[in-house]
Amino acid sequence: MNTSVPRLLIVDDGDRYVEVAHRFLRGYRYVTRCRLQGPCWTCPERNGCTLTHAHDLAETLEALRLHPDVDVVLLDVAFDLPMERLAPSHELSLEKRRRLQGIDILAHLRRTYPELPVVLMTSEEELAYEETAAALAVDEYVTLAGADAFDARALGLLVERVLARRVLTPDPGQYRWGTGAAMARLRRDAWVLARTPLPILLLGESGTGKSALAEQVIHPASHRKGAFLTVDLAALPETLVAAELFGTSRGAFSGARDRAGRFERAHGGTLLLDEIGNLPLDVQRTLLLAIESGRVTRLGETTPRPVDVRLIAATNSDLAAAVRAGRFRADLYQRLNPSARLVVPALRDRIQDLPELVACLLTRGFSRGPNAGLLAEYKRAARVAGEDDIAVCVGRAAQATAAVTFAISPASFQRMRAHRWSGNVRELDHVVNTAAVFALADTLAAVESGRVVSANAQLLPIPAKLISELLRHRNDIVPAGSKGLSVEIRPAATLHALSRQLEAQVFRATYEECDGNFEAVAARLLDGDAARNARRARLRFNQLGLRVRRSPNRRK
Amino acid sequence: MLARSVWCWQGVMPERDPSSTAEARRLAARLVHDVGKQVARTARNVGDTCWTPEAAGMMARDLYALPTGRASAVFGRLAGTTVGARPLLRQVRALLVEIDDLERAVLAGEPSALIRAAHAARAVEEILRAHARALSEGDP
Repeated sequence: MNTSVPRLLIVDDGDRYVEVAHRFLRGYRYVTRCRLQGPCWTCPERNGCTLTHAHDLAETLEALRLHPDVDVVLLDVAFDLPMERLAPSHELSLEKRRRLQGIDILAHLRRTYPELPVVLMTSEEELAYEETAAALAVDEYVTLAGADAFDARALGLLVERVLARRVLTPDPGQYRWGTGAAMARLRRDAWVLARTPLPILLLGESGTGKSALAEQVIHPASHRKGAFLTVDLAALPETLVAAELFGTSRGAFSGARDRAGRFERAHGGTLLLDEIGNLPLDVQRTLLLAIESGRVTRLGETTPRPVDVRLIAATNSDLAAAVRAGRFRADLYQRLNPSARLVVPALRDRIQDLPELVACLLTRGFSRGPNAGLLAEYKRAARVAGEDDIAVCVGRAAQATAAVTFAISPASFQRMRAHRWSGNVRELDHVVNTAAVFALADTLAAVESGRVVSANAQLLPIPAKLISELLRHRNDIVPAGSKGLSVEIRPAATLHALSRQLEAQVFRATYEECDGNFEAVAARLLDGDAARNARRARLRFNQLGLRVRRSPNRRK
Repeated sequence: MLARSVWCWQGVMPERDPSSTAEARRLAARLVHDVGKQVARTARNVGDTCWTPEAAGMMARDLYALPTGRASAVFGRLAGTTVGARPLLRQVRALLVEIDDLERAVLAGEPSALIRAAHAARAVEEILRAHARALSEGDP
């Protein structure tokens, strides 16, 4: 973020917005595709100039290459462009493609520049694409409908809001955000919420990294001096939860002694209540009182003690459903601020981050514990060294870039991409570290027996078969809480019709579970190479009369 | 923006029955987008006393030289024969006639003409939005 004048890039097929911005919003610098210095409105050649802004996706990317320090993109939604200048899209109707071209440009920008703030400008009264844009983590909407159409003041206020929000977002730290839009959105929301005193509700499947987010992001960003403590409510017997959270006084029950609870110990800091859905009903009431009054009472005492604790509650279960079923208090649920909840995406929804996560997990896995010892032993035996201990590369022409570089074949990597990862990052951690340890141990044995020359010792291929077996084993594990496949049997005229009907149900359910990814469908239903089988799966899917789901919110 | 798309839409879209409710709503939205919003672009951002030559030139383009043509002509092309049946559209047509009558004075930068034209432009947008709202709320 520049500390000087913010830089805006306008993307619009015409020049109507540009004129308004240049005339009425002169407090900013406008990124152009021109190499001349100075604002456009002082340029003697401004009449008829087409370099003032970007007119399509190609020009947008060109402008961003020229000026990587753009602060905000102002993006029109409807573009009247010839077909060859439109961004790639699955939509067949030319009229719809033009009408929603801004969304396609936005999707492309989100892949290439996931954190670049974008303001959508549209005069559409009904924003049919609102959910799409939200999914793409658009910072704000300028719904230039009604009185706001071409309103420079409204646009300026919106830009300022986006800029102010961006200032709040500091460096990423240790937490791996990756490049996906969902994580970019989570990052912004987490930083904003961290600076408020409100309790935070963290949602996400098991293994997605909720605790890491709380410890590595929210706690440091809240600038609290006290400690960060975690209580795993799934691991505590129900009878001990209250004593653990609120503390005990001597004589409260047999064997009880004076002991501060987690709330008191987290005074001035942050307390993460993991698996909040497991909190017993009677303790839920006490917790609600503690949140509302800022005081806790030890078991066996009557005088409450003030505590200043930032509360984060995490769960992978559906708390709203628990409320409906009477297992969770509605008032406590509301107090946990569910409308501002943070949702950590599942690994399969951020699969583009796989290479970064694999490298990070291996580096972390070999930095401590027995793995670090094994690595040190290998480095001594193979006489290898490098600036970094561990690196990962994918591809046939792998090159060693660290003391030990693990090479993953493209086929293995493809298989990993297609895997469902129901255990999320935790499962990925186990798979890659197990595979790497096996590869390292095997090579160590080879080095010790003199079979590997030192020129090859830095590059350790992870056998494709090893990864394949680890993933297959994981596929056999049905994670707790996952839905089994159920089929509805309806009598049919022939056995053939019956089997076709059942097959269609299996395909449809698998397709839904795999979020429309045919490679993943193939990996789950067919033996062999998933990439090659994806085409067969898709063909069969079509033969069964099933329809490929269209991209979100393009229904009209 | 879709302002320049009028020609291509007219080229590919078949004639539709403007008396049907859905088509009337669609037409109302087009009028807001292609006429109302466009004519008021500069007028909404300039107060009555802040007319610089640059702003006056911008408004003149909004009124008499939109990418699709003169605002009154765009309105006439889109609204066609439906104007007679709809009082709000008749008001808009009258305002656009007034704007056209002011053309010479607006191009000359006469302050009183600029102010009157800006008022009329803002009124055009407001009325067209009111017309679209009424149709979307079920008023035939």
